[in-house]
Amino acid sequence: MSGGIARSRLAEERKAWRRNHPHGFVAKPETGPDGSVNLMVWHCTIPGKAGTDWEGGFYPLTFLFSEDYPSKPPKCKFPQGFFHPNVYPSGTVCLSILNEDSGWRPAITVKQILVGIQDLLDQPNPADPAQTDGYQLFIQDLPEYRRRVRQQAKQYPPLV
Amino acid sequence: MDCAAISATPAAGIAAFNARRGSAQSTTSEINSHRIGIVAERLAMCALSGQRSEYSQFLNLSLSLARGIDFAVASNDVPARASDLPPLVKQACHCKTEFLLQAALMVLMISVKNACKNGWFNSKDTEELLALADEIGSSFSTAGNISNEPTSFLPTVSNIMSRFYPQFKLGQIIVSFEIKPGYGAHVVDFHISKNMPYSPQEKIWLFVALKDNIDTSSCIVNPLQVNFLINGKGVEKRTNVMMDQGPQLPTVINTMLKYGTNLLQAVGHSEGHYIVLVAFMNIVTCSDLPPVRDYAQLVSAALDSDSEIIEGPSRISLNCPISRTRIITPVKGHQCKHHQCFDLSNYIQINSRRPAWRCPCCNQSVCYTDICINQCMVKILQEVSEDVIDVIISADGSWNAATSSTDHRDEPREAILNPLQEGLEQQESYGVSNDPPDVCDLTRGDDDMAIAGHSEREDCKPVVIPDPQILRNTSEVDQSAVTQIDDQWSPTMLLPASISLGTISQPLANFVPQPVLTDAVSPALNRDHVALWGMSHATNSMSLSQLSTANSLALQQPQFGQANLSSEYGRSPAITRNVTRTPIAIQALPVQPPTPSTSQWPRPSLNPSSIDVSSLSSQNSLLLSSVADGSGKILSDMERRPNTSQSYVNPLQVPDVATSSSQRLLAAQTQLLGLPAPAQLPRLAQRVSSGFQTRHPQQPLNASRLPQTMSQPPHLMRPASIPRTHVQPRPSPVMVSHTASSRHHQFHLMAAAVQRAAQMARQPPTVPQHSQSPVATEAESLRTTLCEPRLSPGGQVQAVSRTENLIDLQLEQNWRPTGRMRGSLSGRSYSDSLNPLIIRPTEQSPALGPPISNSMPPHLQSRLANSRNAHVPQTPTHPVTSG
Repeated sequence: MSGGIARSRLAEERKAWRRNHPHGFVAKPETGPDGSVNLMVWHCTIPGKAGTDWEGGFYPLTFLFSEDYPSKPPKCKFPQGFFHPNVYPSGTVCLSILNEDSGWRPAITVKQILVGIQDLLDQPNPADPAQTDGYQLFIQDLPEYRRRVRQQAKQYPPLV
Repeated sequence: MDCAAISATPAAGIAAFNARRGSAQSTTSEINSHRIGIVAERLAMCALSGQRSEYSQFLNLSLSLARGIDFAVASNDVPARASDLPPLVKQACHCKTEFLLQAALMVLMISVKNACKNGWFNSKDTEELLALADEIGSSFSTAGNISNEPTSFLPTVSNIMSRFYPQFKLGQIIVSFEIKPGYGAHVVDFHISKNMPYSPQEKIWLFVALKDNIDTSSCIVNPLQVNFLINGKGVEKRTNVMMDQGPQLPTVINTMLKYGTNLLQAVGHSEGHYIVLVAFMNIVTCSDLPPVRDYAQLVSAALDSDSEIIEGPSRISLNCPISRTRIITPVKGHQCKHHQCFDLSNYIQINSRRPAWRCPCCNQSVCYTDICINQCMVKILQEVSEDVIDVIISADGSWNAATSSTDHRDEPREAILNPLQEGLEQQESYGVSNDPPDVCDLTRGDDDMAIAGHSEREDCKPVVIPDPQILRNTSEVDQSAVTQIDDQWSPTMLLPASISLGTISQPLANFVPQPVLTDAVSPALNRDHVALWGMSHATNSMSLSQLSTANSLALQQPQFGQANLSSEYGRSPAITRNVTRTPIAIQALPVQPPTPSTSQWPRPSLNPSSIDVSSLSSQNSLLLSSVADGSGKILSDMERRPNTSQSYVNPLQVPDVATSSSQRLLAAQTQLLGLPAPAQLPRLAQRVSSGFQTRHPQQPLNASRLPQTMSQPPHLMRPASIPRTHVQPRPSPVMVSHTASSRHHQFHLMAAAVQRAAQMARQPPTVPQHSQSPVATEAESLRTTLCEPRLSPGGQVQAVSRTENLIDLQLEQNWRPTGRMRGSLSGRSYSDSLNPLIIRPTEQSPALGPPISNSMPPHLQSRLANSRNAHVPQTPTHPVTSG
C-alpha cells in the first residue's frame, strides 16, 4: 500500500537532500538510540536569512510525516512557543504549502518546504496569524517585534 | 397478563437458541414458532386494551416478537403460525399513534418486513404489512428515496466508482438511499442473512457520494454535517466527532454489522443530493484495473495541441514527483498542460489511500478515467540512459538529456550513503553554497490559502484582534471625531425615518441569506450578531453625534475612562478563541493621527458582514439602533449576570453620567430625534459607557419589572415611542421627548425595522458558542467595544471578533485594500456587490409594525419591553397599532 510510498519517497528525499541541499540547512531523519533510522520524523535546521533580523539563528524544525505522505503534507513544528506570527503556540507552522487543502502538492519536496519556511520567517503573513504574541507585536509594535526576533535568533546559535 | 410469562418469553428464545446447537433444528424452530404465536397474541390483546399501564408490556412484547421473527428469519424458517401473524401485527399497529410505542413498533415492523421478504405471508398481507412498516418507519425518518433496487443510482455509482474507486469492484448492493439537501434523519434497515451470496474477498462497504457533481473527487467527501451511524455506532471518519475532511474511500463496515437486521442512520444537514449505498465490494489489484492505454492516442493529440502552447524547451524530471524514483509508466491528466509526468502505479497507490485524485504536479483534478499514458515520455524513458534524471524537451518534441553542469542533482554523489558521514554532511552544509534554493511560490493561491480546512485541532488560531493602540487612540480622536461625524452624517439625519428604515431593513433582508451567513459554522453566526450590533452602534453614533453639543463633548471624558475600564472586561479569553475562518485582514498598520479622518478606526475588517453593516449603517445612519441598543444592553446584562453587573463599573459614575446626560437633554432640548439618552453620547467610548449608564441606574428597576414586561408583548413597541415623556426625575437615560405624533410613528417603524433585522440575523438556528441569549452576547460585545485584552477577568469568548467588527464599523466604506491580503476578494467584492443594495431611499420595508412586534422573539420583546420600562413607566396607548 501507500505506506510503502511514504517511506520510499522519504528515502528518496533523503538521498536527494544528501546529494544537494541549500547552504546552512540541515535535514535528517530521526535516529533511535539503537541506531535505527525513523524516516517518518526528520529533524531539521533552518538558518535565518542573512540581512534579516533572523540572521544568526539556526532554528530547529521537526517534520512529522504520516503514512499518507506525500498525499498529505508533513506537519512542521518549531519548538513550542516559537516566536513568529504564523507559528502556533504548539510550534506548528501555518503555511499555505503545508496545507493539504490549499497549497500542498505531492511534488513539493523537503527542500522546498524548508526554503519556504525560511522565507516565511522574515515575511510573516499577518492575514493569517497563528499566535497572539508574535502577531500582535508585529502589527502594533514593530520595533519590539524586531527586538524579540533578534533576541530569539540568539537563542538558537549555530550547532557547530 | 402476568409478567412472568412475558419475561419468560425472551428466555425461551435464548433457550431455543442454545438448544439449537445440541438438538435438531426442527425443535428450535418449533419452539420459536410457538413463541412467536404466543407473543403475537398477547401483543394484539395488549394493543386492544390500549391502556397506558400496559405500555411497558407492549414494549416488551413487541421487542420479543421482533426477536422471535428475526430468529426465524435468520434460520430461514417459516413458523407454522405465520399466517396468524398479519392480523395480530395489524392489531398491534393500531397503537402507532402512541408516541411512546412508536419505537417498539418500528423495531417490530422492521422484523416483520424481513419476514415479508422471506415469503411468510400471502401477497395481500405482505403488501399491507409493508405499507404499515413504511408508515411507522416514516416517523423516524425524513422521506428519503429509499430502495433496495437502486437502478436509478447505478449509472452514477458506476461512474463514480470508475473515476475515483477504480480498485473497487461493486458487488451486490444491500441497501441504498438518497439524502436530499437540507436537514434530514434517515433510518434504513437492511437484513444481512447468513446465506447471502458473496465471495470471501468481498466485504461490506458504506459508500457515500454526492451525485450533483461527480467531476472531481469532492463528490466523495463526506457531507460535512451528516453523521452516519450503523446500529447506533458512528461510522469511522463519518461522524462529526471524527470527521475526516477530504475525499474518502468507502468505509468497511463488516465489523459493525450483525446477521439479521441492521440499522443505518444518516442524520444531519446535507448540502446536496448524496447517494448512500451499503454494498458488497472487493478490491482488485492494480493489474486488474481497467486499462489506461485506451487514452494513449488522445495523448498524442493532446501533445500536439500542447506544442502550440509551449514556448521554448522545458526541463522534465524522469523521476516521479510522487515517489521521486524513476517513472515506470509515465502518465498525466488529459488536461494537464505540463510535460511532467508521474508514475501510474504510484498515482493509483496514493489515491487508493487518499482518493484526492489530483495531479501531483498541478493539483488539477485527474480522476482515474482522466489518466493518459504519455507515449512520448515512454519513448524517452526507454531511450535515455539510467543515470539521466532530467531531460530537456523542446517545443517540437525533440529532447536532450539534461547536462549535469546545470544540475547539481546529476552529480554522482550517491556514494554518500554511509550513515557515518552524517556529521560530515552537516559540516558541508555550512561550507558550500549550492544551487539557489528552489523557489516555492508562497504567494500562490493567496486567496485559497485560508486555513479553513485545517484539521489541526490542537492549534487554534488567535483572533485577529484590534489594535490596542487604536483603541487608545480613539479616545484621543474622540472629540474631533464627533465633530467629524457630525459633519458627515447630519445630512442623512434629515431623511425621513421611514425611509431610512426601509433602506436598512431591506439590505438586511438581502444580506442575511448570503452564503457567508448561511454557512453554518458558528463563527459566521456570531458575526451576525456582531453585525447587527455593529449596525446599531454605528447608527447610534450617528444620532448621537447629531445631538451632541459642546456640552456633551465635555461629558465624554469621564465617561470614556469608565467605559474603557469596563470595556476591558471580557477581552483576553477571547484571544484564545478559535479563529473564524472568514478572511479577517489587518491591512494597514495602525495609523493613529488624532485627526478626524477615517483613521479613527484604522483597521479595516474584511469580515463581510461587518462591511455590510457598516456601509448600511453609515449610509442610512439613522437612529434605528438607539432603541434596541440601550434597552438591549440593559436587559442582556441583567440576563447574563443579574448580580454582578455593577462590579465592573464604578457605581459612582453612574448617577453622574446619567444625570449629566439628562441635563444635556434638558438643555439641548434637541427633541429632533427622540433618542434615548445613551444614544447621544458620542462615539465608541460612549457606546460602551452608554450601555453602562442605562444599565446601572435602572438595573433594580428593570429587574423587578422584567417579568411583567415580558408578558406584555403588545406593548413592545413602546420604547420606540417613548415620546411623551420628558426627562424623568430619576437619573435614567431618558428619551428625548418628542410630541409630534408622526415622529412617534417613525420610531415605531424604526424599532420594528431593528427588531426585524435582528430577527432575520438570528434566524440561523445555531446558538453561538455559549448558551446565553443573543442579547446577552451582544451586550458583551458592546462592552468590549474598546477593550483591551489585559484587564479582562471574565469576558466571553466572542468578545474579540465582535470588538473588531464594532471598531471597524465606519471605516470600511472608504477602505480599499492596498496590498496583498488574504480574503481581500471576499471582503471588498462583497461590500461592493452589496453597495447597490444598500442605498434604497425610496424603498420601504413592507411589513412593519404590529405584526412584527407580535412575532418578535422573546428576547427582543423583553429587550424592548425593558427599555420601555427604563424610559416610560406607563404609556397608555399603543402607538403602533394606530400607525
